[in-house]
Amino acid sequence: MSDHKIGVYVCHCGSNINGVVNCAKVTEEIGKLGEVVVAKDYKYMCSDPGQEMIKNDIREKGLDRVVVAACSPRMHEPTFRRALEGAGLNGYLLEMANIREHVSWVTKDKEEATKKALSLVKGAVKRVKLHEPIEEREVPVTNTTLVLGGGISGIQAALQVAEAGHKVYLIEQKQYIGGNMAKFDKTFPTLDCAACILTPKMVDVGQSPNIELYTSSEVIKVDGYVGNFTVTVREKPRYINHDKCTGCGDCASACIMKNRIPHEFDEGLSKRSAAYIPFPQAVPLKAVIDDENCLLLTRKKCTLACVKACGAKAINFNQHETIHEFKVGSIILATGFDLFDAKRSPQYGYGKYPNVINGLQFERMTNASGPTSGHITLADGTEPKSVAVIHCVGSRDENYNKYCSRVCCMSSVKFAHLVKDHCDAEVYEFYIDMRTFGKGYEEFYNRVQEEGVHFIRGKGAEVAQKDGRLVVKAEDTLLGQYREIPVDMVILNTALEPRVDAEKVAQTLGISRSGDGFFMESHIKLDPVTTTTDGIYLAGCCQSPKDIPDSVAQGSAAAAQSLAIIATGKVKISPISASIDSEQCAGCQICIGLCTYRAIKLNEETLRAEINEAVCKGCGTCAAGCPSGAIKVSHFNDDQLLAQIEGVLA
Amino acid sequence: MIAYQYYPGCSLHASARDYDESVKGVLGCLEIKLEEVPDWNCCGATITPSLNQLQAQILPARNLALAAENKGDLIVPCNACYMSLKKVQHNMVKYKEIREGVIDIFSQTGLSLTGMPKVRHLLEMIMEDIGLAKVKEMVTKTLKDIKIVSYSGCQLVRPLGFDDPEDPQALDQLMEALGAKVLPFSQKSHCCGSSLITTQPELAFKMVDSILEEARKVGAEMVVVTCPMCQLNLDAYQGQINNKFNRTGELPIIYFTQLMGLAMGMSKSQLGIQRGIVSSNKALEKIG
Ligand SMILES: Cc1cc2nc3c(=O)[nH]c(=O)nc-3n(C[C@H](O)[C@H](O)[C@H](O)COP(=O)(O)OP(=O)(O)OC[C@H]3O[C@@H](n4cnc5c(N)ncnc54)[C@H](O)[C@@H]3O)c2cc1C
Ligand code: SF4
Ligand code: SF4
Repeated sequence: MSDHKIGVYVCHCGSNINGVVNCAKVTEEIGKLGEVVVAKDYKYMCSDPGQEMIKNDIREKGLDRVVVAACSPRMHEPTFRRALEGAGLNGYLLEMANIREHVSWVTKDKEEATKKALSLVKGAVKRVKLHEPIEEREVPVTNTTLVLGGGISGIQAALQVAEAGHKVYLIEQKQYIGGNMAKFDKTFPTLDCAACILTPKMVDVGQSPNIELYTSSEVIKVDGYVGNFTVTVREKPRYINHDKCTGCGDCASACIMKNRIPHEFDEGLSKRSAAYIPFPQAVPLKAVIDDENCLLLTRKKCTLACVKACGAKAINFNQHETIHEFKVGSIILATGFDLFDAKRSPQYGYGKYPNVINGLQFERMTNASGPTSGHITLADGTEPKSVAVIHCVGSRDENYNKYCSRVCCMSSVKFAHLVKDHCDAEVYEFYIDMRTFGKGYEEFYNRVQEEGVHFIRGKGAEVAQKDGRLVVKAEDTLLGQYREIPVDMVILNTALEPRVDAEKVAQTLGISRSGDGFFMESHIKLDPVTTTTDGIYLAGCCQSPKDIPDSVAQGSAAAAQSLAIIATGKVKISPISASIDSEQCAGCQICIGLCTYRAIKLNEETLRAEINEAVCKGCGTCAAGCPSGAIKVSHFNDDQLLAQIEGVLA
Repeated sequence: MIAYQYYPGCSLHASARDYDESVKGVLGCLEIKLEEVPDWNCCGATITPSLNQLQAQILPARNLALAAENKGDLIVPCNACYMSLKKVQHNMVKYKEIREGVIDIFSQTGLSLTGMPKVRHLLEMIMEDIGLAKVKEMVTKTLKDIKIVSYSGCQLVRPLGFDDPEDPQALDQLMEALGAKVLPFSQKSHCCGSSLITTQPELAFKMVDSILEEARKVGAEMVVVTCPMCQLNLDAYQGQINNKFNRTGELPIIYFTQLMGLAMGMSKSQLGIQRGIVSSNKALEKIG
């Protein structure tokens, strides 16, 4: 074996590592190993002077391998690879030993920690000798973007990419864009009218020459990899010719099913026809025929009143679903959230008592174009004299969702203000903690307190009916007393949950979900917009519950990621990938099922498995699973791993 | 013949002999053998944990140590015993200090807690192991639409119970299978006040009254219970509570096993029904 010249650099990470691991001792011991020509420890290896030290040693001492014992390679492997390259050494001749997350952060025992750190560094030294230089690959990108979900975050992302002059395909499942925000009347903390700030953006989407909008559509297949995705979209028929429909609504007035179908957009508080315009500001402002309730489509029998009423001759019952295929460079996921179904907490009487409603129903009530024309009314049409708002229904609760839904404290305060404003009823807010964290939020909370709203610290435990009135029961933890408060209306502020189809979408796109069910970001703090699949980005509530300002910010951030890919014109692909020795492959196809990234396909001619290196993430699952041992992963081959184990155990 | 171990708890040998009689009667009819845990002691109920956490574990833990690992699940008819036994099992897994404390005390007595049986409420066992189909088969005399509310009580369902904590279903389903008319009742899993009836009667009386009052309002002829503690509070204190709150109308409080027994053709006296303080005679007239 030819002799290597290895440099070992042990980082203190301030006191993060050195507070537990005796870095000087590790350095001293490692210095004694053969082929280690230099071993140094330093306060912050990732700092400029730290990197310079490594570079100088490479130049002056002729190092050909480098080991850095520091934090997780997820954090700084790219940094140190760049340092090696700066001194003319291939970046893959580096090995990192993680002595922070794997050592100093997980124990207080200094002696054991120092021992383990030393073992890990020894393993790294053994391994790095077998490293080979690897060149990174680059592939060209398609300069189009697909945005999935047309809520405020998807709209924001689509507009920004389009404004920069690039084509966007915006795919929305519903018949209109706007998402949940389109249902609100006022938005916290400034109480600007939701329509006034959202409608112009929706109209821009409809008019932008760079945005192709597909409503009533869903993604059914995604192939390819960053820069080069092929996305298949299914567009459901609306039975309306968009070019002819003027959005006049005559079909809706004529439809035999008029006022018979609960209207989803009004959260069931109003009834619509089978042919209908979703809401007055809808984009696109076109009629739609609901195939689950239209008599012709379900029972093949109807007088066709809509067709007769439509002066524009826009109705066409012969439409079929259309399949589209788009080539895009990146995908932005902005599929939003679902509201927790309050029936799952039967103690609150939702679905049982007509005056117990959820937050979105209240939003529709206060909306001037909503089912009650903006009046807050009880089921019998009268105004409530007292209203309770119960926080955290389905949130911060071991039985449902452990997380805090983040927006509901603020929307509850908004509800209280709106009640005061519309009908001056008494308002009781039942909260566990008030979480009014954003810019201008605490101020808004203070303002509403001054409006005379009663804030009761204690989770609303139950809603019962007593002598014809609703009664909210709760423990007032500030008074240290159990209270029963009679009210006319209860608003349950329910959790924001992952969408029902989140798992299907995750599988179609090949991305992961975190424990709470939302789509998973690649780093919760430093990379909250990227998924673990290159080229797929997240925006808005599909990643975690958040308010409009945060959704918009994340929408812009996701757009910036897409634009960055387009601007560079090409993407770097990690060269660490698996490869199959076709001589050894038996064609059993076990690996195909194992690969989460769908990088492996069977070559129909040779009947051997083949890996698309551009898609392969180098995770190694296939290599571990291959019964014939036909798969190798570069930079993680058997020799390297065995050498590392040997070093650790030595 | 399926065999189970049986932990009756203090009440069933004292204030709730009627429950014990009906449990044994019904399970006998179903050909189920119960073997009482030898030399069992009080579970400590809800009282001991407020005095000393560790010692509160020792009482139920001793019963678990005395029960055999392999003689079938441990069947418990009382909600409070059921929860104390389940809680100690949970605490031993979850809290190191408790586990070590209990083991330490037991090591001085020669008791061991390796291999504990599964703890199950009697109602849980009937619903899951016997099943409604079999119960229906055994019914020889249906309850003919006697109007009842089923009051499961709190410790059957929380914090570690087996049914929906907010809207328990098992007791409703069982009563329907016997032919009773189950009325909607929002306080199925509310607390009856338990031992507060002796220490803070003012508070407990309010809790019991709220339960009884709703039962009367929805038109119930009896309240069906699964726990001797609930039965005692709702039955023995009913007169006092009705006086205090100016209520009229007596409600018999009956164990679910007593109604099962009647439906399966057993006699009132075999089931201890005459032992209730509020008489059930009138409510049961319908079925003779
Ligand atoms: C009652 C209530 C009141 C609120 N009030 C305020 C407020 O006053 N101020 C504030 O800042 N925030 C408020 N919020 C929060 C606000 O609703 C969210 O921040 C915002 O809606 C998030 O936008 P989004 O685009 O991420 O998700 P959404 O609004 O949920 O939009 C997602 C869109 O994606 C579509 N979609 C979903 N799945 C798919 C799929 N598979 N394929 C294609 N399309 C799909 C949906 O149809 C929808 O159009 C409130 C929330 C609630 C529940
Ligand atoms: S389909 Fe015809 S009637 Fe209906 S909205 Fe469009 S133009 Fe008007
Ligand atoms: S934001 Fe407030 S209401 Fe919503 S879950 Fe968090 S604490 Fe509860």
